[in-house]
Amino acid sequence: MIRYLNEERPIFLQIAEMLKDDIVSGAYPEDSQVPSITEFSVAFNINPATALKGVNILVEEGLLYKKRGLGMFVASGARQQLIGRRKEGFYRDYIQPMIREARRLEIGSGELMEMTERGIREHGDRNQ
Amino acid sequence: MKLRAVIKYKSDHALKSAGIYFVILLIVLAGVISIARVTASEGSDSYVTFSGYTVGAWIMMLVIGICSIREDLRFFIQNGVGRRTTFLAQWISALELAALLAIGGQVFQALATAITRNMANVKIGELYSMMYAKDAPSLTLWQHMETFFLYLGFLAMAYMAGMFFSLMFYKLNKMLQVIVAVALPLLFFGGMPFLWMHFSAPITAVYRFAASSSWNLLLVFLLVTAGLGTINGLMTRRIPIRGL
Amino acid sequence: MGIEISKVTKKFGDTCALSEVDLELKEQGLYGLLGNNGAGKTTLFNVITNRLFPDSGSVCIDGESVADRDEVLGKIYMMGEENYYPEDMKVFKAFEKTGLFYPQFDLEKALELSRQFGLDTRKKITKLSTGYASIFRMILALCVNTPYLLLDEPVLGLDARHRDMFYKALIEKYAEAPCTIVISTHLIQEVAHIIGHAIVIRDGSIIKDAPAEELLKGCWSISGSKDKVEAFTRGMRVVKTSAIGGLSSVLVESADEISALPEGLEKQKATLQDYFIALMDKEEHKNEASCGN
Repeated sequence: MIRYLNEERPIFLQIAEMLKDDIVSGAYPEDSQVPSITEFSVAFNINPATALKGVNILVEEGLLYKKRGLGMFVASGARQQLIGRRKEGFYRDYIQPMIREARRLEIGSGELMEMTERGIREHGDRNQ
Repeated sequence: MKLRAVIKYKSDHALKSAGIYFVILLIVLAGVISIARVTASEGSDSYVTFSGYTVGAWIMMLVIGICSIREDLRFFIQNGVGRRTTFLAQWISALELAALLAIGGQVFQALATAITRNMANVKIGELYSMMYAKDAPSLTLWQHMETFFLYLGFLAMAYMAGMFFSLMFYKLNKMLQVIVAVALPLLFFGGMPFLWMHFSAPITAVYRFAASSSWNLLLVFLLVTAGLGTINGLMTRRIPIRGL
Repeated sequence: MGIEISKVTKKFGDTCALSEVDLELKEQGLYGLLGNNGAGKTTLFNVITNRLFPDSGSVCIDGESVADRDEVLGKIYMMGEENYYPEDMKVFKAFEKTGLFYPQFDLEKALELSRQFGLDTRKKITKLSTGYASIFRMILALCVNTPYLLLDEPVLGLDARHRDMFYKALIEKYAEAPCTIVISTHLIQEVAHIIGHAIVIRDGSIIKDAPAEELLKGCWSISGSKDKVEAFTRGMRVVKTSAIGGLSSVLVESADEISALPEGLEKQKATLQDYFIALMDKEEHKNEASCGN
């Protein structure tokens, strides 16, 4: 996993987000171990305190748990929890703007639904 | 104090230096004997005298004294050892080296005398016997001891002298260094006749004092060593340690 | 506990290298001593490790003065820009000898790091290239395991790959066994996210001493038309202003998030390097160091 951090947003937030992405994508299944603070800080050339801050966000949100002496593990239900939250975010960040834009372009509800279904067909329906 | 580590470090050095010196002198001795053999076989009447061990040892101590202090100040401060301990290490090292070389000198003398016993035209001399046991074929045990202590002082003085010059030059800036480097030999050669003119009595007195017994000469050496050593200590106390 | 530097002043002839420097490094952490060449970083390190005596002021480590006390000196290790080892010593021997003076020296780790960096331990120290001489001194520093570690421009002479390896080795060492490490450098961006605390030094004076997070979070560049920028940034701590024609760009220190920008203005997070350069240009800091006269 070679990713690069950007300067704009706080590093610890980017770490937290990366971890969350990896949990959602299935890279870290439930009860699997995530990299240690040392591994994170070495991988991204950052201060361990920053890495710790990022990881702690997930701990506080109940997505990770600590096994004494071993490290951090993905909590059960973590993926569902994240997906649930992101679904809300999806509605807010994608659906609502889409509807607003459709209104601006004078696309009616029926036409919008047709476009949506066309899109689903073209991409192949993986979630149905 | 990290004295134990410092002593171990310096001792390794001292043993190595003394050992190398001894081997070199043996080689030189072999060379001298060969030359003597050659001149003897040619029927010439000339003598070959060799007192190189003592002189060589003195020069070596001087050089080590010059180099050690700078190298040690830097090496030791890098390893968390302060000036005081470093200075103490110089004394310990000087005494250890002097002792090793003095004992080595005794061994060398015994060897050399044994080997050249049957060679009429070779004389292996050294400071002590030249001054205090001129025509003795060999030394008594007491004389060996006197020799040992004499060399201890003699060589320790060389070390402190070397250290003195090194520190003096370290503290002086470039211009002063040049001035001192030129002035010293001038003063030495120019000043000698002057000193002799005006201070011949005290100088002769000191000479007579020293020549009468090796312990007297040892005292002179020790006084000079102590004097130089004290000045060295004062110079080392707050000396800045930087790369050269 | 920690390193306490109190009103340290050091002059070299007429040049004032350090002027009434006050610093406290109380907690364990990665500190960055940021400054340009000649700012006084090396001199400060030399004074802390008793290689130089300050003209005035004092340095205490864990409450005790450093001056020629081996127990105190043994708690702090400095990686300097020069080699203080006997020149004809071989690297391997140097590692061994260092173990004599620092019982916690990790010889195994030193050999492993040498292997990783490609340092030939059979070579004599003089025979090492500039880069490898640096690597040699760096490996020593990473393996002595003293509570205080000073690294003076540790990556000078290192190529990009070795620099990256160094930062990784440093972070790993710190993560596994936290201690107090001070890195002096003029390569600000490379250490920006590694250091926990930034100390900026200029012409012998400390001009900034703050947690890195504070500086990274609160430094913004606001740009737009001159009037709008001026109006918006009135009352803010402006570090630097630059203008071209009617447009201007201003670097501000702001404790709070700059959220609501009026129309026509843009904001961008300033990097630590931007902030550092701005500090260096600030007029009020120029010619400040006069050794307290």
